[in-house]
Amino acid sequence: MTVYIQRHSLFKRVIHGVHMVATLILLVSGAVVFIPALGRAVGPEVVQMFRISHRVFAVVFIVAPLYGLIAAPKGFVHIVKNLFAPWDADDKRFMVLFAKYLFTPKTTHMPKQHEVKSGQRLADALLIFAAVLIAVTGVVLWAGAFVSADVFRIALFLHDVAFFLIACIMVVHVYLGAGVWQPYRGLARLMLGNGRVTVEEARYHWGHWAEVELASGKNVIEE
Amino acid sequence: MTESAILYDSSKCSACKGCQVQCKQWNMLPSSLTKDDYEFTGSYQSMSDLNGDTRLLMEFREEDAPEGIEWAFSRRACYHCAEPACLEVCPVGAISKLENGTVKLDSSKCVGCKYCTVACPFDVPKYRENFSVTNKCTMCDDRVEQGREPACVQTCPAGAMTFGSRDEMVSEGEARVAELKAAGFDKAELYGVTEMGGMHSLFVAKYGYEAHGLIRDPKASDVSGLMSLLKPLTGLGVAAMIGGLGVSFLASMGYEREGMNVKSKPKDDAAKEAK
Repeated sequence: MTVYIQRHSLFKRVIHGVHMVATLILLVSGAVVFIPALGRAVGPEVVQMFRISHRVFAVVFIVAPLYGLIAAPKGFVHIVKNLFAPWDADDKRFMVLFAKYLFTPKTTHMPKQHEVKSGQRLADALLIFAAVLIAVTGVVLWAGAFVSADVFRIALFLHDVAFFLIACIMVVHVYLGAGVWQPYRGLARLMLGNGRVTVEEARYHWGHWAEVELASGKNVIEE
Repeated sequence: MTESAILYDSSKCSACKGCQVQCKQWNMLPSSLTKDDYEFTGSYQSMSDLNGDTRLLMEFREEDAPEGIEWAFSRRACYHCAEPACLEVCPVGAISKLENGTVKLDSSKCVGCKYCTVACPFDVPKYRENFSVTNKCTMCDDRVEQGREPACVQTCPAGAMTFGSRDEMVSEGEARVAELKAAGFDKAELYGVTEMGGMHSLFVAKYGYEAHGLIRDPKASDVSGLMSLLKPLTGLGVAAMIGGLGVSFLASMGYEREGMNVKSKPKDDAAKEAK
């Protein structure tokens, strides 16, 4: 018998999945315009097709989290609370050790963590900031015919800044979140699978959170 | 092929707007037929700026002078820069430089991203909403190819525009500026000889650059410069991330959770568990 803790609900996983697909398509379709050499290589018809798909998936990118917010406001509040949760000594220690841990996981012992690791809280905050920035500036660019050249110019620059941020963060996000890195292997199922984590994994990654969950028993599943 | 240029002489221009009309006719660009569709500019100028259907605009500026109002007319259109900022940023290669120096925008390739508008220091390329493409002067490359002058040049009744080899146009322009200075117009200058690498649309500014709304020492927009920095920076950032994480991956090979727990737990934790 294995004991699991249900970490993410089906609703949260579906919203994440939809947003993930939209983000990946937006990154690829945006890159075609962002890198002129790439656009010239594929030709105007393909670029135009990518531009149209960019707008379609931009709508998905904006609507999916907004729908999540409206449909599950408590979940949204929970995410925000975690994001701004005060840092304790373990959180700080985690950040101090993280770079070392990334390169020497076999010999680095990480402190226990709460529901969201301190490093992930920082990355999430930056990702949310970049996502809001790219969404707002994207809407301005879409309405390009109705804004002044200067507003368009600034929006385009900020859109590219956000693209830079998201592209860099996504590399790390996929490496850790999809479990490419050996210590995080298996964690992909948290968002892309059944959303469950074994008690052993939970204790390893989020020690404080695991104890709270086990004590409450609310999300504990035995199979 | 010899480089060509248009020479516009504001001191000869009567601002009849014939060039503006002829440009629209030759290029089949419509004008609004709605009364008062264009905002009132406070002068005889047709509209406040170029737009998707207007590649050439005659601008009217008024200068106070002892004799009354002096007109400073300007021909606003693409300058066909030798180092066109618009060309660099076009993601589909719709903007090209022809052998004679013309900077051509091929609307059949344009995807309407407006990057060229952002890059141009003169805000010349304008979005043509009905067609979802950007529009600007092509120096009538179709006419020039057939040995004819651009439509605006051919129609000018005052002879304020000439078209020919760039070297000749520069010489003519400089000679005209010298004449104007001799006649008392001290601020007269020739615009486009060195600006943006040397333009293919030169401008004799009778009252000096500023009076005619010309940008002294124009440069591709700062934002455009920053954006051109961001592109390689993004590539570097992503490559650095992938490289760094690649090292992390290699360093973590052979990692086993169980083994690590035993080996790397701090002594005090292990002691507590033993109790």
